[in-house]
Amino acid sequence: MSRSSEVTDPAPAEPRPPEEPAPLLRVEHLSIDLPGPAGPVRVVDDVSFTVAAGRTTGLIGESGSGKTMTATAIIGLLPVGAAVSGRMLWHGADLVTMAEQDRRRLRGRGIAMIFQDPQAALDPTQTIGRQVGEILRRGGMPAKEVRQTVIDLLDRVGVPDPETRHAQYPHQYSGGLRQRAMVATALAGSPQLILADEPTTALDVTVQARILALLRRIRDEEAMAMLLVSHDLRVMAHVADEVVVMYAGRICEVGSGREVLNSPAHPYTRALVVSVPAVRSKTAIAEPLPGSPASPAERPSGCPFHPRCAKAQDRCRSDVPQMRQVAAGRQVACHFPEEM
Amino acid sequence: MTRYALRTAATGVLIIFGAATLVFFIMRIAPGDQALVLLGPDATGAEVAAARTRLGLDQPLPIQYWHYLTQLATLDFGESYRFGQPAFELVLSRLPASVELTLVATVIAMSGVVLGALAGAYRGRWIDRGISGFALTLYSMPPFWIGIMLILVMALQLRLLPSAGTGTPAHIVLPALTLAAPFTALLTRITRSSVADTMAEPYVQRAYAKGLSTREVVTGHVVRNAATPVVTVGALHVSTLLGGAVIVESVFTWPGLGSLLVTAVANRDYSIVQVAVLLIAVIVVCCNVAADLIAARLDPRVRLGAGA
Repeated sequence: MSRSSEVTDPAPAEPRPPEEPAPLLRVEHLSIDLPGPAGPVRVVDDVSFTVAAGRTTGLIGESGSGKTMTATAIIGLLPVGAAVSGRMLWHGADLVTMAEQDRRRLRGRGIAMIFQDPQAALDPTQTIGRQVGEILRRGGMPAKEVRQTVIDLLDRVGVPDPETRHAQYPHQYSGGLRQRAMVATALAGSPQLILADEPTTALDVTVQARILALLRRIRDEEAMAMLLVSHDLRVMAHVADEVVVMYAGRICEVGSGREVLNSPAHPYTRALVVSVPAVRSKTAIAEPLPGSPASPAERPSGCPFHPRCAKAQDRCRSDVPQMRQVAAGRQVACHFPEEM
Repeated sequence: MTRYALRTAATGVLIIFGAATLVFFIMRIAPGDQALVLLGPDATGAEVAAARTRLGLDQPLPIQYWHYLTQLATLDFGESYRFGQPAFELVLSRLPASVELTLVATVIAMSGVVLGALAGAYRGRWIDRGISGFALTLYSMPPFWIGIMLILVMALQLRLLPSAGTGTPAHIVLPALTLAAPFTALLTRITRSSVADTMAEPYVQRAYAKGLSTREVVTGHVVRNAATPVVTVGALHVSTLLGGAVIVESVFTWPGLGSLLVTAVANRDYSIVQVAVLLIAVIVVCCNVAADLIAARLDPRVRLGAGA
């Protein structure tokens, strides 16, 4: 892993309202290069944001936007050969330069992760209870205590009859229950930050709502931070306090969830918002976003969104827009942002 | 589980019956018979016909087959016409030597599981390349050639080990090594691909996210999930070794089932061939059932009968 020492662009202004708690995780100028067939590909480019305790930060973007790579970098499970630069400050310690041994100790205990597909992310040969309690058992907790803790955890995430069900296997659980079990697994290490990568994508819509309610309840009860990675704006609207919108590996907009989704400043965010069909109103037909997401391997010059942007001007094709503040707590990387 | 056992038993009986039928007809379709072997090339037509009548070979094939089946049903396997002894006893007397050789070879071949697991867990690294190359080399060498090379080097040049026969534990080393070579390569390759596939599963990534080390992830989550194909293929191979180590047994004059079978086929000793093939079929079926049961133990989805 190499760290780029040059920090050419000015550090983005980070205004925080006084009531906002101190950040647990501060990501600064994070860039990730993955080896590709034609040389390294920059899948995450100069990304900065913060995650505060007791808050949910949402990472929004289409596939290929780098949102999952960002989360994977935070927990330190990037594929072999990935080059990371920038800083990820966890309680002041930089995760990028931290020794692998220390990072491993942090995984599960400081930072836990919930994965997209609960069917595939559970070991089919082990009981749910064994998997939920694995981190406790490895930590040296006596078997009897592990059992009780696991049952309590399953109860807390809403698995019915945990006394019996902790001894069952993943294939005996429904999709929603499996995701609950995954949440219990993440909670077992009492983490301060949970990374949730598309936690509801593989679930039925009705089950999604219940899992989201569970995540929100847990964040409130435990006062832990959550980084929610999703392409689903409705999920974000439900849970996210702050959102970070990513496109082609770069951040295009940051702000409070409600404000960004209600009055998007970046044309891309706006296009995302109007592309979601509103269920309640009969008139609002979704406007699909034209074109396909820019591939990080062939990122367009200037603003990566310009080929799909209705407002694009010459300047958008040549100059990369820098993050700038457009309102209190609102930053946007666009030459011609919407009026606030 | 009971239904599963019953179904397996029924399939096993069918397979054994099929093997018994096949061996009966194949032996009789092949040119030449016991009468010719017994009397030699100088016998007259009348002598051969008399011998055929005595041996019951003049009867129509369906009648012979019926006799064969009724005898089988009463567990009467007939006598070897060459040795004048019950064929079943002759075959059984050769079984221990084959079992011994197979067991030792299997233990040696288990090293392939360890090598394969290492290669699979570190796919693409130098350790994987080394092990995979070694396995491919081993796999490409014909067993008889390995056997001859071992005899040349270890027995004739270095005079470390006996090249043929039985008696001391040293006698088993060379035939067991020869038998184990392709088996080791097979286990290495199967284990490697199975472990590598399992390492790519999302639940392995999730295990890393719990803060486990690679060793903990492999022992805790990969081994058991990767074991099923290894057990299945391994059991099948063990069963073929028990009955079919023909070449290795011949090269090292090892008194096992394989060498008995070869001479019996050459001499048209129907009874011995039939019993031996039947016994091998039983062994193959048993090994497969054992593999299925182990797989069911390993995978709760098989054991609890659900395909979610």
